[in-house]
Amino acid sequence: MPLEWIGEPGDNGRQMTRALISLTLAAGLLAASARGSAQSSDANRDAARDAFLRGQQAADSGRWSDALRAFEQAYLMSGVPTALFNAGMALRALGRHKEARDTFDRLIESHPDSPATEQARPLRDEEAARVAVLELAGLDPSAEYELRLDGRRLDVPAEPVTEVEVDPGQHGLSAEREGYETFTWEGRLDDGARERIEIVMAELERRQQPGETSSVAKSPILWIAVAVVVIGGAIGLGVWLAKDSGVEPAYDNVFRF
Amino acid sequence: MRPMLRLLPLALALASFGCEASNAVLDVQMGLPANPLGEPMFVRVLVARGDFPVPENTWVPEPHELTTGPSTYQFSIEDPDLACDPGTAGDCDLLVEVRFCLDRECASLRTGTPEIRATDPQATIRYRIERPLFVGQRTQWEPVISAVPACVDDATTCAMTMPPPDGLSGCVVDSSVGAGGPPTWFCDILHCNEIVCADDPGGAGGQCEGGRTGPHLCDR
Repeated sequence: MPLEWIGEPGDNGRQMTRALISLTLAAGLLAASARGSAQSSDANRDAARDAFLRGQQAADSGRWSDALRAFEQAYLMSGVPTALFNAGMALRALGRHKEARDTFDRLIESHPDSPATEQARPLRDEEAARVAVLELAGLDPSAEYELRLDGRRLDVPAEPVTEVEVDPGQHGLSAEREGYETFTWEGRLDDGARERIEIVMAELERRQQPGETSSVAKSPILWIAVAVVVIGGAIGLGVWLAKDSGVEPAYDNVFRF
Repeated sequence: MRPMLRLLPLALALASFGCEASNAVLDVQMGLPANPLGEPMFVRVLVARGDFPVPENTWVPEPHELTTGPSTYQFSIEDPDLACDPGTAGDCDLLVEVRFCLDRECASLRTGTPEIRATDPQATIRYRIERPLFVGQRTQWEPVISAVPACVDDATTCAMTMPPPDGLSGCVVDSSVGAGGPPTWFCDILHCNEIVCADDPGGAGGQCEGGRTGPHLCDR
């Protein structure tokens, strides 16, 4: 069954919309598939076609999240590879390259003989090449951490080097461990970038036990060092206050632009 | 030690000069309804500027779990240097998307499959707030959501959404999401009506000079 394309890829602004497999033909595909599937009822077929229509309309007006939802719905109801292909294209337009790659993989695996799969193969490779990787190094496998990426909890095993796939763009990472200062990292990853983050966490100072004395406290060197740190800190604080003084959020749960 | 002690006030005195706040903060205290389901249900919030749909990664860090009775979700939105142009209409408007989900991370909503919706409402409320952030000022917003958006018909197809209750000011069913999308309400918030300037709170008449007509009290 031939596939029809609207426009040519490379048209930049409307490239993604035009690259979607066309509605007219896809509606036919949906119908054909529904006829061939014992599980698809007429109502299901109509609903799938409607969902596909909505996806196409949403894509035409640049509402890619809505388009994605509709195409996924269409695929779920019909199992037509065209709908899955377009879901992958919507993810691509949203910049969710990791999920786009996985969707194209799913298409290739589930529908190896579909013409849509032929179209998907080079796109899949393009998306895979855009996925960036964070290498988290320095984690102690025997310790418990709370890792957060872009504010969301990251459930990965603590290993000497742990790899995390992310979409390109700005990201923030934090690592917390009991008894240690919180580690934070922020940075921007380009397409296909691989960034190694050395997670080095300073141990928090242990509180002195009652009755415990330290001869170091009597050392003049210590006090000279303290004087240097305090003066430097005070000047630094002054500079920081001059730069960042501002109104404080009332709550701890803060979204920052 | 004494020279150090002399330097300390000097440094702090230096610090006190030129301290002009350049950030802007909106403190949100969101009244939420009781959990309508028999299983845990969470609220997550996305914040952005521009147009809907909002990017999928601009979350308020901590989600909120609905309880058996009404509850309050508190969070703040901070813009370090107001990265928008208050002189351009709509440029500093804020988009706040509230999502109700069964999983803490609201991951299921992103997949949008009908099977999930049959058990997960995946409901959404989209607020567009007229310029709520002002440089060097703290503002407050206390919306009250008295119900979770729901589908009128079958939850799987969700061709129609239940209209918002009277308690939600300025809210309508969001037709831009369309049939098959999650049940969604759209609420247009005017800052003269609901955004309170912490340093200069207005009254029942409104939060702008002249009540609901002039410049915002935080903009004087």
